[in-house]
Amino acid sequence: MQKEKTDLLQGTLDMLILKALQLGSMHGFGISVLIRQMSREVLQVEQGSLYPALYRLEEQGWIESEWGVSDNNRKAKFYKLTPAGRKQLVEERSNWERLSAAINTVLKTT
Amino acid sequence: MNSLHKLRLRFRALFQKQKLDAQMDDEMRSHIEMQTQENIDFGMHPDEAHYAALRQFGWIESIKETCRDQRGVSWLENLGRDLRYEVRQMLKNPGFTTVAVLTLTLGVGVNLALFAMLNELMLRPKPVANPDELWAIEPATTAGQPIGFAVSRAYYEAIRQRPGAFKRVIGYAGIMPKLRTEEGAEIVYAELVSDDYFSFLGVTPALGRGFLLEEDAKPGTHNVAVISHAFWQSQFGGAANVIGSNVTLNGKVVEIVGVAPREFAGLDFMQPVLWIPTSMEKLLDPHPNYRFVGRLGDQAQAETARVALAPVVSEITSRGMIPGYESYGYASLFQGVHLEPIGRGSLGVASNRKEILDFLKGAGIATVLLLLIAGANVASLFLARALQRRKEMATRLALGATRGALVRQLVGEGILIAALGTAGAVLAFSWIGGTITQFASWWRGPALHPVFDLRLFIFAAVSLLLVGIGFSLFPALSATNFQPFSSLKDAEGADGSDRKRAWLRHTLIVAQIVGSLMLLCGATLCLRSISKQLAVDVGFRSDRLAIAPLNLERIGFTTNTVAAQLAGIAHRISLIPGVEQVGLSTSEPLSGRYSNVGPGELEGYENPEPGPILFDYAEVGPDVFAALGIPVLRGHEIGHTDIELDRRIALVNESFVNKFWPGQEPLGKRVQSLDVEVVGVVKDVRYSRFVTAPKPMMFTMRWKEGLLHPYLLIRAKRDPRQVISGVRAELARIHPKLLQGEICTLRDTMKNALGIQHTALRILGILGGLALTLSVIGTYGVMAYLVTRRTREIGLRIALGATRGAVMKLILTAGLRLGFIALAIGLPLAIGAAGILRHQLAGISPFDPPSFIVVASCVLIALICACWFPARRAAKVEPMETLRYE
Repeated sequence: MQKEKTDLLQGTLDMLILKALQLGSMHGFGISVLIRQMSREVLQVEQGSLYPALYRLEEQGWIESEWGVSDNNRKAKFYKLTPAGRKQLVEERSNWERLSAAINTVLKTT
Repeated sequence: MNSLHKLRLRFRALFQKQKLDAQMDDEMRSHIEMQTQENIDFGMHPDEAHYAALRQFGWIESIKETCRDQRGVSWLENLGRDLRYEVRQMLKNPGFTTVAVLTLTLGVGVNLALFAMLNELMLRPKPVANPDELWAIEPATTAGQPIGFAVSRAYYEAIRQRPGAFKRVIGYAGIMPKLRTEEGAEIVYAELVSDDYFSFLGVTPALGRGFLLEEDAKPGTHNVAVISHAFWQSQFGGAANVIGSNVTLNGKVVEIVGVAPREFAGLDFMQPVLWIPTSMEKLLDPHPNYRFVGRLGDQAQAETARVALAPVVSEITSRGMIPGYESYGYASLFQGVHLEPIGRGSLGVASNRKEILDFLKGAGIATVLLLLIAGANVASLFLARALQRRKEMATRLALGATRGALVRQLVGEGILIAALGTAGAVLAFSWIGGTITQFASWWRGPALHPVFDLRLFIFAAVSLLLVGIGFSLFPALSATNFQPFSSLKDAEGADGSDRKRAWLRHTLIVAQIVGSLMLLCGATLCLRSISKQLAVDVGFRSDRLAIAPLNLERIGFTTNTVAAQLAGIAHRISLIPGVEQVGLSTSEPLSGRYSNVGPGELEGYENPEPGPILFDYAEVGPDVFAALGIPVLRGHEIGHTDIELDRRIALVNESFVNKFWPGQEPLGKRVQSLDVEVVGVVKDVRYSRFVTAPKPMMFTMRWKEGLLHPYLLIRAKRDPRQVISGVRAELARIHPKLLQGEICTLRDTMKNALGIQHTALRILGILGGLALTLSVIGTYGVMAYLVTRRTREIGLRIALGATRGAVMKLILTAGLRLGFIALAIGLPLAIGAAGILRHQLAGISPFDPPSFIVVASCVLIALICACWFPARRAAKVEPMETLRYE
């Protein structure tokens, strides 16, 4: 499992976090689990990148946070998307698609 | 909205740092707990699950730090951290901090005080509506050169009727009426003003009202006055019912109709006690001299207004409306006007404006020089300390600090020290300001009470930043410019950048010496000039005399009774032991104030040139020549009986006889226009002025009024200071309010007569002394540092056979080399700067070689002293110890 771990491209983590939060408000641990699951265990988010990214996104105003209680009755900080975050997600997603399409084109060239 | 959101977050991040950090802790702990739970769910042992969770999470502190950086306020936090660090550094080194702060307090303090003076005199807007619109209209030559005369009301009426580009023109004239007090009368300064004076200026009386139109129209019908706030407080205790009360001026009862606001004290330098409408001119002063003020929208209109007024005043002049001047052929001078903005500062159109400006300019150069010296001094202290901390800085560089961060911290420290110094200067502000004005003994205007306003604040803030950055940036750049690893290995560091640092250190020292040299040269020039002038032989024993200003009017005497009283007072004083002779005069001898007259004709003299016959003239009193010790060569001098009998008599000096009546009998000659008869001839002496040689001069006693305010001249048998207390006590026994002011010696009067020069001497002397002290301390520091750095080398030299004398010579030479470089730069600069003093100096040239030689050698001696102790220490170095050192 360790070997399959792929380093995330700079900037893509933000997009993944926004995508994960699109499904609803979630705490940091939940986000990391969700990204792992959604990527079928390929993408492992380092906490060392996750939390700075969460704070950065909050600073940008794309997500906001509030304290709540987790499933197993623990106090946890929940993040959710703001309208600006939703817009940002759409934008980053189209950027990503353009970029990956371009890269694919390059790679497929024989 | 987004930026608002960010601002909110930043504020939160800045001010709720601890709360946020705690939340971050909680958040990460809950993450780890969840991870632990998951691990347990996967079947781990609880303890192991916890550690695994921690491992999976990573280095928590580092993550937290990265998260904090995301908050976007790190530079502010850094600033706070730097500040805390700097404060700790300063506290760790209280000696350095104290010296640096005090030095800067001094440097910034004198500049602040001088700027405060400048602010009071020239910059602070007057407390009137739209002060910048106010322009003084002064009579001038055709070319617009002001001639410094004020003019009569006729001129004023004419300008008021045809004000040209001015919408309106107001006039005011300073007069000195007698105010009746409980015991007698007192001369006060008052102003005759046009009826619209207060409304024109937009000054609303604090109580009552300003003047009404009709109060100016019909002379003598409305005897009313607006009093000043200060007078209201002192004379009426600030009573609310003062409106309607009366004051008596020159025997006329005047009703008080208003009280001026506290902040308004007239347009000129002098602060009137009360304002009276011009209609009372005839009752109070037959020849008031008017000044005019108008309003203009902006600067551009000034020239138009000036040109437009020229024909008006030319016509006034041709109609002969300038009484008192036409007979002297002065009328041709009144052909134009000069406009001067007067909305700012209290200086107004004071007659000694130029003198005061020159003084401020010179003093400003001296204080800025002192600030530069103080800055250079602190800079060299700073450099030395930064070098001491090199090991610490090397460690920090090695641990990843950037050079920029180190420089930022050092400069921050500099600004902090400058801020403390400036704060000290602001705290000591009133004291320093008071001291500076006290120095100006020639200051005849009202005392200045500087106000700490916005301009002063900006001045303080700007000088703080300039000084703080100025003195710390170069040392910081220089001290951090090194290879960390070589410094870690060897504390004394031997890399190449050391040479550059030595250069900076030496430059700082040389700059300080140059500055002190310039200040001291200025001081010495003033001192030499003053002593040259004071040393002049005035013709009589000026060192035995004390002068007591009396006021008989305020204790109820009148011209009818004064003569007999004065004879009695003079007699009682002459009986005091130690007193040799007593005389009286209505003018103060050797005070530098003089007047001259020009009677139309003089018996027995044919004037070869057209125009008036001019000669110096002084009103004196009974026994004045006996008291001063001036021999009466022929005839007799004025005695008490002459006063009582009201004889109109005069004495002349030898030069007078030689010029106007050579070979004629002077005694018995009459001067028609002055209505006096010459009864005596005295020896030529310097009477009013001592800086110029005796000129033809006449002494009279025509003005009995003056005897109500005479100067009592007391000649002592020995030192006049010994009789002063006895005279003061005796005068107080006659009447406690007889003496008005201080009894001083004639020498003091002479020193005061040298006025600005004397002040310049004191200021330059004190600043120069301080500057030299600072540079000696600075030199000492650098030399001591040099010796410490070269201890090993010196030890080696001694071990190899160098004598102690040779070692001392080595260090002294290093110091003296700096001294000579400083002299080579400083002397030409000082000689150049002496040119500024040119107008203040008399008796010597501004390029007076002895002054420069004396100062240069004093500075060199001071430098040798500063190097002496480090050199001694170097000579005492024990070779064995130093070689074992480290």
